[in-house]
Amino acid sequence: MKHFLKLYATFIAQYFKRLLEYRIDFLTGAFSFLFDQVTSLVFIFIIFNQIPALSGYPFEAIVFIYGFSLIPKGIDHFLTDNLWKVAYFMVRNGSFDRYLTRPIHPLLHVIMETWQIDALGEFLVGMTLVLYSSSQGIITWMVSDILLLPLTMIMASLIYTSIKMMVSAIALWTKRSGSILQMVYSTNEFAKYPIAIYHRMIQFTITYVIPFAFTSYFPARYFMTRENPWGNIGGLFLLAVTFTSFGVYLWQIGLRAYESAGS
Amino acid sequence: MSKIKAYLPFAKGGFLTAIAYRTHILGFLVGELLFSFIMYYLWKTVFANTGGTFLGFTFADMVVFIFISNATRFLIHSEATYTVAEEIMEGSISMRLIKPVRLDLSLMFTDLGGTILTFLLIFVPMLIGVEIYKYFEFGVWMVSPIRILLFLFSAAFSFLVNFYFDLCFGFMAFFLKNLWGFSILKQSMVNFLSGSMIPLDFLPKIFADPIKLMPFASISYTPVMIYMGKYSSSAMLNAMLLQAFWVFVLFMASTLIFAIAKRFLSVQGG
Repeated sequence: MKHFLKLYATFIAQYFKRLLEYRIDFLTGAFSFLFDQVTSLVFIFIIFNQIPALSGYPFEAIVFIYGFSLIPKGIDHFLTDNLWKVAYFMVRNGSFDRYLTRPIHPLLHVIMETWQIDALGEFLVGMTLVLYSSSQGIITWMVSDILLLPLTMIMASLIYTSIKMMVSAIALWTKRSGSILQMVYSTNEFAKYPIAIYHRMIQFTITYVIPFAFTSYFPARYFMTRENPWGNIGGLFLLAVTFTSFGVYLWQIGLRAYESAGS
Repeated sequence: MSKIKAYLPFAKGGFLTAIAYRTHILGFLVGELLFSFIMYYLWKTVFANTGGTFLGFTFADMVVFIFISNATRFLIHSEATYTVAEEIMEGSISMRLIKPVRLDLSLMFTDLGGTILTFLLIFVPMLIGVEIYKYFEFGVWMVSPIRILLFLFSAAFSFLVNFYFDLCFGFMAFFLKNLWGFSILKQSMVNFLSGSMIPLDFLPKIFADPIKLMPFASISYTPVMIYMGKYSSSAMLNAMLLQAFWVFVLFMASTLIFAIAKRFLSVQGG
């Protein structure tokens, strides 16, 4: 474990050196993710200027769900962004080979090699929105939330990470899975709003197939209403653990089947 | 005429690249469509609560707006920023500079080649889809060829405004070297200010009026409003003149920036 932490620290130190080289670029990247979220908020604001509630949820509740969705997304984006590179080009151009020659597990190596500072934009906006909206009286916090809320966020991040693991693992067979990952990943956009507004097919998909609804809507609803903890929170934990295990398993058999793309 | 001929291979190259990267385009398409459908369901719920209209838009208006804005985004898509920035960083821009062609036109024709493919594979089906939707919504065919032609004419201006804006932006790489962060920021600004996300009329007048004069509105808002028939003839003429004005200004700006930037070009040996 100590060895692992030391390695991680070394990787991240390297990352910060790169960051300093292009610091303006990185800052604008983070700022633009922030700007993106702010424009979406303007959008929600315009809507609520005209109507009091969206499918039963008042402004604060919509902002809470929206903000809630950004936090796990930001955490995953911050920590495991390198999986995108595996899916898009690392296997294809052969640079993936180097992970196989190192004395740590390739999946671990890929993930711990870098951070993605841009994600701070999403994370900070999410935190601000959750703090703001929950102070407006839509949530009665309980003592147990001190433990439950962070744990929920971690599990929800794992949904993102596990989906990225599964789809990037496909590249170990097909050399490239970036576009599929892009398609699967982009369905997380649905999770920003209450899923009740969508068609049944979409609700089914984001609940049972690509379960992004569990990263925001279901847990957020639990914290607002305290209803159905087994479904809303328990479902999330179960899915997070199952999906992560399956993601790791896919990487295992993918690595066994892996053939280098050549030089 | 022979001048244009020199640029046709660039268009062909752009077309073939677009075909080669079709899965990339497909990923882009799915993402964009998904966004449109989220907007669709969101507005559907909103309209269910407002009883018919929202700031002067009916739900049918909104559906047309969402999908035509989306289709327009595909039509005007330009790779100029990325291409220029990448070539400047790699140094391969020098190869482009020694050829007896204009930099802007060669890039533009590359974009146009890709646009032909997206026009046929994405734009036309979406347009037909919207017209069919309108048929089911109103019970009569409302296809207006003149309006579609005016839309396409205005969209051509949109393409040029967007292209020269992108180009000006790409030239920034001469000074900044790495453009990734800025180009994401630029894209989210364009998406918002061009009125392709929310109709600009929904913003408070004090913001909407100045934004409508900015070049961004010429990128998406103008052609979409023409298609929706939201303009009187005189307003349409004014809006198109404004588009032409921005094409001219941004063209001059890109020429000027390029003249200055060329002196800063330093290519590290290969």
